[in-house]
Amino acid sequence: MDNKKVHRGFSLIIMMIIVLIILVLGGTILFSSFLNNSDLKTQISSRALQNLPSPSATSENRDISDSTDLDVLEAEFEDTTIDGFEMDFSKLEETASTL
Amino acid sequence: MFSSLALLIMLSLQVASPGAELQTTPRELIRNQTKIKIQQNIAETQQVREEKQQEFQSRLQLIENERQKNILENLNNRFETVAKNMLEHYANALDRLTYILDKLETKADVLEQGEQDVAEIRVSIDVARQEIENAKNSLLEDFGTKVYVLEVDENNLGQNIRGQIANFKQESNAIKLEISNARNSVGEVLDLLKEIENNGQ
Repeated sequence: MDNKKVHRGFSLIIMMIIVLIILVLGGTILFSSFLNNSDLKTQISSRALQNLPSPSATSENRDISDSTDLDVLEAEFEDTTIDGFEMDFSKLEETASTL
Repeated sequence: MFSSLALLIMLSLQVASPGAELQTTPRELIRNQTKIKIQQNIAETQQVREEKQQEFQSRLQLIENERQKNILENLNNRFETVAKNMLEHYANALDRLTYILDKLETKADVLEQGEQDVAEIRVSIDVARQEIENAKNSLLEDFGTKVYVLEVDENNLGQNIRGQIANFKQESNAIKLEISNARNSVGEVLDLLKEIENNGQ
């Protein structure tokens, strides 16, 4: 009786390991074909090589598309802002005024 | 068990992506050149930065008021961080403008092939490119090579520090104006192209 239980438990563990291997392999193949179909691999590799930070959500860090459609380029142009430091200066000046 | 699993994963990666190799897009190339220049500037000014930081710390020790000490330390950190963020933000904006201008030039080529007159656009593109180049030079060769560490003078402390921040603001406004002009020039190229494209339809 006990031997049967042990045998069943052992089979279950083997089954789980096989399922795990299939899942890992399947996921790896899917992920690698996804990488192959996009330039993500290039981006990941070059960032890893240069130790660059990942792009933040700010529009300035978003990659520009390769489109030459003027509406797309206009949107990208509008996204390219040079403001955003007024608050930093105000804080610096405000703090310096307390000296 | 795990080593064979890792081997299998590596093999499947090889099989699924044969011939996959690193590629550098024009956008990445522009960005990488700027990053390298910024890194070079940081490396070249490293010694001066360290000396200035040491000088700042030794001057700080002469100040007896703890509240002022804390404010100065905080200000000094913010000062350097704002300068660094500004440099990266503006460099990134100029890289984007360069890339957009390249795309606009490609669009001008296409319109020219369609028998459209793009002579005026060519001139505007040259102007915009020159303004981007000038702004980038000012940013990377001037602003980017300065070390932004506060110089502490116990006499007239507040006035002295406020003066340094005012100077920094003035310098960054001058750079911002140059970049803004370059941006406006790219905007003019865009407007001209849109006008020609609309008239041609």
